[in-house]
Amino acid sequence: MSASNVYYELYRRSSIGVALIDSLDELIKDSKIQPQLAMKILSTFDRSISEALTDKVKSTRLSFKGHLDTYRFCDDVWTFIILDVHFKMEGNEAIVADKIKIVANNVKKPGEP
Amino acid sequence: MSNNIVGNAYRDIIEDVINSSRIDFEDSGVDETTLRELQLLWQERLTMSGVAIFPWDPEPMPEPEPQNGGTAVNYEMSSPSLYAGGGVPISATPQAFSNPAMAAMRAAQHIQEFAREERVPAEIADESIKGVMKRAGLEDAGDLDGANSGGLILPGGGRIAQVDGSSDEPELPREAVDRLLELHILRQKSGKSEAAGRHSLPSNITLRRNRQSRKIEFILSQVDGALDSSDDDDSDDDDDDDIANVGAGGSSAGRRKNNAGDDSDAINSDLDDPDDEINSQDDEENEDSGMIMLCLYDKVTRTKNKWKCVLKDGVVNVNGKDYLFGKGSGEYEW
Repeated sequence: MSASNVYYELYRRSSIGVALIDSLDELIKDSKIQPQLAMKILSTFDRSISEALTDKVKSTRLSFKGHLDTYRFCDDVWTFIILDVHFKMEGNEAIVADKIKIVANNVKKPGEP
Repeated sequence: MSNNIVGNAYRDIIEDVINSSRIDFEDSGVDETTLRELQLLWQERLTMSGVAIFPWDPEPMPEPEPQNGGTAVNYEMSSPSLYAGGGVPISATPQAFSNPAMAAMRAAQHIQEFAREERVPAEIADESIKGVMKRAGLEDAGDLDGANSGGLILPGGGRIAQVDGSSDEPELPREAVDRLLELHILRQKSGKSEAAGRHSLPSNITLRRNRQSRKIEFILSQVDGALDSSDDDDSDDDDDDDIANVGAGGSSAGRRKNNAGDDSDAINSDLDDPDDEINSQDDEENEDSGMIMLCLYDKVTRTKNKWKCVLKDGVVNVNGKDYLFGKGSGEYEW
């Protein structure tokens, strides 16, 4: 694992990320692992989920429409809050939600061309 | 449908992380069983969140077998005499039991809730919980001393603290609380150096947990509090007060600061946690179920008030379910 390749920590907020953090907290609380080890595991998780999303879900498409309530662009991160959003997955599956928050990092990592 | 693939994708991610972390675990001198435990905890949490169907999910049992398997349910039904309150039966727990362990945990949960509602004395509830656990073949009921038996117990002997909204602790009578404190104090005395090291390290993980659930943070500081306070009487009183005020975010924040360095029993002012600002911001925006999409953006454009964006590699949590996508596009008006 090259140390220079740092992956986004954004996915730690996903349900799988939160589940991992909770489990690590549990083990730390019981003194079964050290916090430093937990940080290493989280870095491994960052890499793993980034690669999984790149490789495994290549073909899955999603489109959505809605009303933009809030937008923010700061530190190369876009944050949107969309209301009354309609999602369309592949296979004509439609999902409706009252509100969704989108956090998007730049597809180009800092330092890349 | 991108929810179908979630189960398999998450399983692959978990396996990849576990396998890659094995070396790190060995380097830190941590046993393989802990790694396994991490995996189990992780999978269990994902299953409980219900965001997708996972390959490791147990199949729901259609009916409890008359033998060991469904004994937890039968045990409840056949021992009405334990419920002094007057014969209100616990409704039969649904048949989604994977194994006796899960059944016992649910039974324990129900017993706790029932005991709380009907004001059944803690000892009686403890007895029934211990019985339920024993029948399911789980040890460790004795160690928990009743106060913690609301937690989930894994077949391997590990424990998941049960935190779902309100802690069970404030409802226990004083004797049970004192017993719990003694247990903690004994534990801290034996593992004194570890605990001291633990709470002087403000790790990012516990800080992060802060933001999401102050109750977890409170439980952490509670254990440290028993160790940290100077003398028994004072610490008991303080701790009892804290137990009575489980939900109060302010007191828990103050207590954490107290442990962090002051060493006095005086009540300090609640210093504003720098995370509080971020927390309140998050609370405003995440009021609802926290439906969130995490992804990368390729292009974001705007024409007058019409926005278009091209997204990639995202995970979406919507209506309680997770979806993954490789390419996404959105159009919205401001």
